[in-house]
Amino acid sequence: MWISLLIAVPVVAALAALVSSRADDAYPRYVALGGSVASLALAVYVWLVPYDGSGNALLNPEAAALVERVPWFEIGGYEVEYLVGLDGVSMPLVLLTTLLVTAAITTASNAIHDRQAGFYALVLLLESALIGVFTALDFFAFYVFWEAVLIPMYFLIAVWGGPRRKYAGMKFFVYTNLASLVMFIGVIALYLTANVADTSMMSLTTALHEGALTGAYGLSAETLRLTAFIALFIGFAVKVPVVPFHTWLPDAHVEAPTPVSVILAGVLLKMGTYALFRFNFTMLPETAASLALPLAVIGVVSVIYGALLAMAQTDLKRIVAYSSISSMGYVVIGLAAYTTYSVGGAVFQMVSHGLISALMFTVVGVVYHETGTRDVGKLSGLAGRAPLVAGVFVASAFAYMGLPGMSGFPAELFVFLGGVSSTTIPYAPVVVGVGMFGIVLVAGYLLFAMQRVLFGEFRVGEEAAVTDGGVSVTDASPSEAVPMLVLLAVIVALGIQPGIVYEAVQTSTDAVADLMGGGL
Amino acid sequence: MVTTAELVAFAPELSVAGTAFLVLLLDTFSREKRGGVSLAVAFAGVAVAFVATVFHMSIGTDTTAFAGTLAVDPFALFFGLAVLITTALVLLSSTEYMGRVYPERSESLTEYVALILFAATGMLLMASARSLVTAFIALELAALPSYALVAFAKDDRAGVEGGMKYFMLGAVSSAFLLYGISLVYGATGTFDFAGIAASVSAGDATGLAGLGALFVLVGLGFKIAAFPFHVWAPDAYTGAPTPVSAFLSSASKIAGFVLLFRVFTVALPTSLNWLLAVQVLAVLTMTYGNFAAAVQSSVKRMLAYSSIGHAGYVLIALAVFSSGGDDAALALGAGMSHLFVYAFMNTGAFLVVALIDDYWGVGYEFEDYAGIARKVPLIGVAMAVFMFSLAGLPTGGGFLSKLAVFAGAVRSGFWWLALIGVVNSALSLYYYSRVLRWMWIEEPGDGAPALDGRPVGIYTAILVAAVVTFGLLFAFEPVLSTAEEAASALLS
Repeated sequence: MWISLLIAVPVVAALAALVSSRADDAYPRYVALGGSVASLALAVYVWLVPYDGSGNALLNPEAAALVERVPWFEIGGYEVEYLVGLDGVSMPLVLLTTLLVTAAITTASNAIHDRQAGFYALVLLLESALIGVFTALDFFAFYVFWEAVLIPMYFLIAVWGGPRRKYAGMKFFVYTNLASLVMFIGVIALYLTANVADTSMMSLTTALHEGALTGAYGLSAETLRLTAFIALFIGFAVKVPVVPFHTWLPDAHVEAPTPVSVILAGVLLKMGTYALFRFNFTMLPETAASLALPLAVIGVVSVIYGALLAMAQTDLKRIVAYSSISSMGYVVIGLAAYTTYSVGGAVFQMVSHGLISALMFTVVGVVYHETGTRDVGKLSGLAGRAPLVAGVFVASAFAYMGLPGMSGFPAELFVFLGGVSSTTIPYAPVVVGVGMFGIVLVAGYLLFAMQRVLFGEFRVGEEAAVTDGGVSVTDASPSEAVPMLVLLAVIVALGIQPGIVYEAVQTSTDAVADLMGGGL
Repeated sequence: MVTTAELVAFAPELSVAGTAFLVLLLDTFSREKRGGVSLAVAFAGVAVAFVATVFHMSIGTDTTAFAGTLAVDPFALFFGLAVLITTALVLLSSTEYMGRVYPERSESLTEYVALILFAATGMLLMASARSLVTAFIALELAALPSYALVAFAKDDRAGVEGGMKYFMLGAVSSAFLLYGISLVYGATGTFDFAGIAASVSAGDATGLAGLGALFVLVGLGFKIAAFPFHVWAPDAYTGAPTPVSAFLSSASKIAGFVLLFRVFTVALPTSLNWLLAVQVLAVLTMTYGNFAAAVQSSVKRMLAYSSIGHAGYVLIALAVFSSGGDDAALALGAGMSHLFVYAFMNTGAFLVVALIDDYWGVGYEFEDYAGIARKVPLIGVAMAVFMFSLAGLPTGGGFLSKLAVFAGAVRSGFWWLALIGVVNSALSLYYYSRVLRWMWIEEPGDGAPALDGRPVGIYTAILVAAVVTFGLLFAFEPVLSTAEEAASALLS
């Protein structure tokens, strides 16, 4: 009941937002704000009160909390159900989703001026689909939500985006839809050959672990496993994204309006790593371990290459977008390492990066809103005019660099600690060590951008500060400041006391790490 | 001698045919020509037929009548339901459409209604036929009114051209079909489906019967607009009044498929080696339909080609049928359920085109649709449901029915057919989403005409179709299980 309620509240709010626009154009915003706050409050309540997850939902069907089952249809002898539940990995991601959607809706009034009802309705529908993705435990339910995320996102980018929005929206749609299809074929191949009675993800996991997979179509079980693993990896890697499947991301981010960027970077990318965790690394651990080196190398390349690309940018939004590729690389390294801390750290990094990137995009959005540009070369000395914006900018940049006291520090620390002691990755200390070098790069370009934009003489574009050039720059408005400060508070809280979330995470990730060697 | 039980069994067909006569009769006696009355009566008749069909389904009627030439079984009833629903949706949107778009033909609205009802009767009988003679008669009963309906606007060049083309090629296809029937009869000495199967199994002149099967396949291939027998379809669909296009591309195609399914599963065993031909037909049809749809500049024409593509998906169901047992029932049932969902999403899409292109007079091109969804968001949302569902995204029953078709193919070992289907389906998203891009994302042009009027009937038909298409995502189980049961009853 609780999970269905979590999925339903945003849908109801979306419809209410649409209906309310008939009365007054200003209403949808308030309705959407109320709906998103209600979702957030509900998610927090569910987490604190009825949620009692213990363990990993896929490995131990008893472990999932608040499970709901409704028969959906039966096809070729397979029972398909609407089956949802929460465990230590999905609960934090649901909280993250509701928090970031609320933040995005709060700041949206500065970026969105026309067709407001449609905008807020789509954001809320997106939220509902995202919660569905993170809670679904039946593959078909999962796939329906997974695809349902694409449609509102496509419209959000293509209707409310920047000048090249149509191209960016279409590219996002085509890339991720093709990836979904590859993934779908991979999963279906597993179901057809694994001898299961229903399409729940638990049944598939159990069947695969017990070696029920039979060869088919002239392929041996081993080849089939490998092929399916690669199909799944490609399907999810596009969403993450890892190099070389990342080219849709900068376009989508640069064109998307700020609130959409917040959700895109904060939550949508996590769908990819969440699915990698659930499918590739939980269901096919042997295959994942045998491919640990190439997977870790892909992670390291994403970290380094993403950082280098970020370095070469002058658009603040592009910088943050490419940094996301870099940060998500750590998640892939952590998962491939298969140790208690690396897998737990990888999941913690998903939450942490979700918060930090959301904050970063919000700050960049405020800068753009105030100055009309995001070009590092055209901005200077904002600190004097907008101290709050500057302060949050500095804080979020430090969080990105993994400064102790912020959530990025424990996340990356866990990944490295676990990573170097990995038994699955050959030469783990070397591979992970190279990955660590990414932090230096991040620090380099963020400090550089920060210094150019915030400090020195106040200047926007070619206008010098002496005359003020007619540019009036004010500090963040309350609708921008409140969500930024809340996000910052959560980041700091998780940095000082990671256990708030990490303890729940660990109950679900330890079992996965133990599948392959485990260890710290 | 006709018994009461037979009449009761054929209540749906009798109701629709009777209504057709009643409509004509009323028109003769009324002083003023009132199309609205005819439509209301026709709608009531279809509703009665619908209730009767549902009743027969619920009590599980499975009987034959008229010396075994017609059957009322779950299979016929399932398709009858789809045909009746399409007919009702088309009738619902016709008054306002005809009144606005073809005011010069308002005198003849009753004839239009009667033609639709006669065609629907033919389609219902096609679903019931279990003898090649009744099959042919039913098919002609469905076809002749259809030709007239396409050319209903007598002064419209495109309509007359489409109707002419449809008629010529339809006549040729009937000749093929008839020739095939005569060959099968010559080889087996019977028109009865079961008799033919028994005779072929006994080994009577299988060469001749095989040739006959091929001719029958060609003849029915025209009806379902399978490549390369599709050439009439885009012109007929484009030229016809758009509700008629919806009727033909949904109901007429469904009826063609019923006959195809029944003839090729009951009468002509796979030992006649038609399987490979159907597989080739399936691959060519879906691939051609998709690629041709992708290059169209008119929305209506795009839908015409997309409906050819969907015929290809359904042909997969017949192509993989050889495996026998549960898998065969799943494959056939999947094809049937796809047609059922298709009846809603395709009819709905054509009715949206009817509303925008013709009723509001916006124009046929993609460009003409620019920014329309801003003015009529409800229609924009409905079109999004239809397009995404047709493309197989999980926003409607189309996702599940396509999934069932492909799953049936994979289970029967035809994974390569499923793969070609999946790739085609993925490509189709390109042209379906193009409609939505123009409707939702592009800015409306300066010269965009005002959207004048909100026709209640057309709106109702579109919204019903959209709600059902979306709802079938959740309530797919009854459709698929009914279809599977009907299929396995047919196969046993």
